[in-house]
Amino acid sequence: MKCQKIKKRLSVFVDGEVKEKEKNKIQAHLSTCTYCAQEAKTLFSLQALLVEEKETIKPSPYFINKLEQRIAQLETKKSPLRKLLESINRALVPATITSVLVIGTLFGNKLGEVFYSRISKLLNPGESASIQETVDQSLYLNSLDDFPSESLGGVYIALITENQSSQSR
Amino acid sequence: MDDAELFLKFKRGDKSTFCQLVEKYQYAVINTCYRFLRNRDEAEEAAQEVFLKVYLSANSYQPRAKFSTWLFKIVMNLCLNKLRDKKKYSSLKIDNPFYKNQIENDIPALTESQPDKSYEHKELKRIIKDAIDSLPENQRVAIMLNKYEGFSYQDMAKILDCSVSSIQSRLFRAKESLKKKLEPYIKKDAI
Repeated sequence: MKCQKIKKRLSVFVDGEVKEKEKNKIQAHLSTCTYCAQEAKTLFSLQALLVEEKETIKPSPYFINKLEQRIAQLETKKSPLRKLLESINRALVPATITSVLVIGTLFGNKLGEVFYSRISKLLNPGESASIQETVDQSLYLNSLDDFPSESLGGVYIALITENQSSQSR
Repeated sequence: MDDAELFLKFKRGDKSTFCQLVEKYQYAVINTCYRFLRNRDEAEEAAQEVFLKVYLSANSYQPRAKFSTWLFKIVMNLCLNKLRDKKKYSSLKIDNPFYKNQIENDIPALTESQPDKSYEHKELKRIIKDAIDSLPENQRVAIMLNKYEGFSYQDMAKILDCSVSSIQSRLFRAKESLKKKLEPYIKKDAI
């Protein structure tokens, strides 16, 4: 390495920021070149001077207390907009769950209607009518309107109707 | 637990971890502010503002960034803004006799904490301080972060939003300038 190139890299070398390979090359050069070696010494001395003679101050003993007070003041003085945003944020979770349930129900209902109309189109009219009847019966529970004739309720109803008709005669 | 983990804990609501970080960094932050502003009260006030900013902007912290790098980025921005305001303000009032008296009163207040130091020692400190203060702003910041806060070139590049080679050249020029200004005080035989 030439002196010119070394001089440019000496600052980085003194700061310990060169890689091992470059460090070895610079060290080898410094052991043979008195000019660059003197330059490196000067930079190390400057570094020591800056670090040793640095002026420092201590934080006041109330630094953290004062900071805590300012934070507490900030917390109490939250803007109305921020409070509103926080309350919206709190209400957001239940609102989202409700919306999902409502949308899900409506979507499911619509999906059922579409599915049923497509099935109806695929079947012939007779089958479609019987499916319609079955669906109506299951949906509206028409089968529960009258008692079956063999049942106790049916027999009871038949007796009452017969009695009423004979009295009216 | 490292700083980033402590700060993430604070972000999740554990306020005690914020105090731990303040305790750890208050000294470094105040001294960096002091090296910029050269006034004890202003440095302490600036440090308070730094930590308040950290408290309020917790959400902008990304865990992949080193906490100290993020913190000193805030310190640098705040101090440079304050320094620019101060320069504008001082250029307006430098001829004011009241201000001159204030400067004279500030000098003993800064040196009271070291009454046992010799006059030569104090004088040397003042000369070094003046030499650093006379550097252009970008070189001065680089010297402060590297020599006083011990940041690596990589971290400094992140703090100052520039490349590592830019940091190298700032430090090179700063050292060249300081070598000339402090030549009589540099020991030629030291390594």
